[in-house]
Amino acid sequence: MRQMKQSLTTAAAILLALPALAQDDSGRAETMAADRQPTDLFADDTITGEEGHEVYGAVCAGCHMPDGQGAVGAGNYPALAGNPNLEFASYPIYIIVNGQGNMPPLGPVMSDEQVVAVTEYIQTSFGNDYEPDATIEAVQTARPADPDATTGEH
Amino acid sequence: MTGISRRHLLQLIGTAAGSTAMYHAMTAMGHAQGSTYSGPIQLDGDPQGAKVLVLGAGLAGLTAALELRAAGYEVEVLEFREKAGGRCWTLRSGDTYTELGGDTQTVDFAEGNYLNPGPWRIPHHHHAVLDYCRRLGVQLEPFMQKNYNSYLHRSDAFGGKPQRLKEIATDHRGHTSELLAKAVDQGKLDDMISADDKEALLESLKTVGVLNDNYGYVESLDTSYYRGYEKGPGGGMTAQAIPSTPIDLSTILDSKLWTWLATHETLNHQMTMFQPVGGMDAIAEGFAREVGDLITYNAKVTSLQQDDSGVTVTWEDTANGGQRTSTADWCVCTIPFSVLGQIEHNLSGELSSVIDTMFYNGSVKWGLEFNRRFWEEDEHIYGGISYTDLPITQISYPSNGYLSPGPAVLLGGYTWRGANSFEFNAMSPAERIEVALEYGARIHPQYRDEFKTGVTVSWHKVPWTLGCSGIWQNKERDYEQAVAIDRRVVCAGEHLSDLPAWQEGAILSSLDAISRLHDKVLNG
Repeated sequence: MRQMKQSLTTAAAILLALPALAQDDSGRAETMAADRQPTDLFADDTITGEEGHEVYGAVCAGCHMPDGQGAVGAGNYPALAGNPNLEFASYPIYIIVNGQGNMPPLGPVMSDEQVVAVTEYIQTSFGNDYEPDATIEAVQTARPADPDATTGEH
Repeated sequence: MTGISRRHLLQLIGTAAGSTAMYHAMTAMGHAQGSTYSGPIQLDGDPQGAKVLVLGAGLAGLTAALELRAAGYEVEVLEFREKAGGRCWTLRSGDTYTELGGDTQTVDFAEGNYLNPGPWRIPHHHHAVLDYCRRLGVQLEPFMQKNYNSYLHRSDAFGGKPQRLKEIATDHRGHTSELLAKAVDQGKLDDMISADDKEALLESLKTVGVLNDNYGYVESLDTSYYRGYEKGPGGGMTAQAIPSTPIDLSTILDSKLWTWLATHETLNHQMTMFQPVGGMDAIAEGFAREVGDLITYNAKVTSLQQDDSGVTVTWEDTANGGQRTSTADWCVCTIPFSVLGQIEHNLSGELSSVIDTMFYNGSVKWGLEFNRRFWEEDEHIYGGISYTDLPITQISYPSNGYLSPGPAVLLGGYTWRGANSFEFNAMSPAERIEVALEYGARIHPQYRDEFKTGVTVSWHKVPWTLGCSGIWQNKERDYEQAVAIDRRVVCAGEHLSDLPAWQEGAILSSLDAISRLHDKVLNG
């Protein structure tokens, strides 16, 4: 296990050192990579970043985008920038843990502390200026009794 | 069979003798296992010019369009994409793909090389997919699921050195057979087995486990005949084979490489598996040849409304601009719930609650093109899949073009849900490819020298689905009301089947939906 963690860290370090990536997408990848610590990548079944921006960059940015603007296709991923639903932490905490609509529950891959950190991050980033009010207790309350099970590949 | 169709015969048997006889007859005809498909659908009776609007031109929508038109309906299909197929999709040389967030990849593969970002293999018992391939003239070739010469790999086993499947599988089976045979032989299981069975069991374990007369699994030419030799049999002066040494049980168990020994054995992964020649979208193109004239592409549905007189769908023409309206008597809606939940509609509360609570699975795939087939030339791996505990989870070698010179594309990774899929999804395509190369090089050191180009698809970033496949919050509770006809609308797709994320599920769902719809149109 220790050997694996070391090798994963090496891979991430190589990734971060790549100059080509820094030029990708008008500097966006550079921003993301710089925000991310090597150990944020690929713990076994959970996200390992501790800081809110690390957790956001490792997971949430995939759909809500690095700038929190969301995305539009046949359907939408809602913007978090300027999103009034983030004013009180209990709402985003519930959705992060349990999912909503097409958004999968992220409770199974995040610790209580990570949910708190990322909730406060989105409350105070992308121009949002809400009072960060997430608590461990609120996360624990939001967690379902029966955690999500995974299914086999196709 | 002459004079009477198989379907008609089965109906006769079913009526006359009850379901048990029906089952045995179906088994005899080879149709009862796996998929429930039992031959082309028969929609008898005159719909008297009724019009059906089909939303979505994936396999569910295409199936509905083909069969409903054949049954006499007027059919109109609206599709968000610029072509048919939906998740039945292939990326090949010259294609461009823009994922959500705006990153565009231009596929730079050599002519004939491709990646199937979605479905990529067809089980031999997915009768509906196979039958449509037959009817649509889609040429299939074997998909190599199980290759005994492929690798099993864990970073913390055998110093990170990949092991051949044939060695791990043979040794695991041999050692477990030895243990069981010795326990039985020594009478330790006498209270669990009769004397007759004991003898037969010992004989079977010797045969299956390749044990010697003392029930030992040992180094020998016999065991090497299965696991491979130290030096293989040859000809002339150097003909004599030299046996290899089995890996001991403790090492096998400790390595956890047995994790993947049953992976190829599930009903959906047993050989024979198939793939369409040239890419999975050959199926989509086959359908499009038949019903392409019914499809309006670049149509983004924004509203689905129904009342006593019909169905009205409002859509945006994303190619030419402007808002359009289509009307019909009935609607088959195959739009994934991940998208349908964001469209204005007046579906029932029961159906809406299912739509709004179905989240979508993430999955990530890579197509990596290398300058030469080093896996064949250096490692004698012809098709099949190597499994690893690295985040890429697997590498699949092309099941076509064996031994040919020039660039070839392998599947550089395939994740299915979980933390890794989320993390890959949050990366740019360039980052994703870089990480896949880094991990893949641990299994194939040739990666860095031979890499030419790559393309990667993360399903949460696919604009027309926002995910790979639907996941139910409570399928047992919600399934019936989700598949039921909602006044004039019936939903269909992989998400409304017991074969989720398989093309077979999409087609079976569609056939079932249009059967019920047809019955309602005719009989109210």
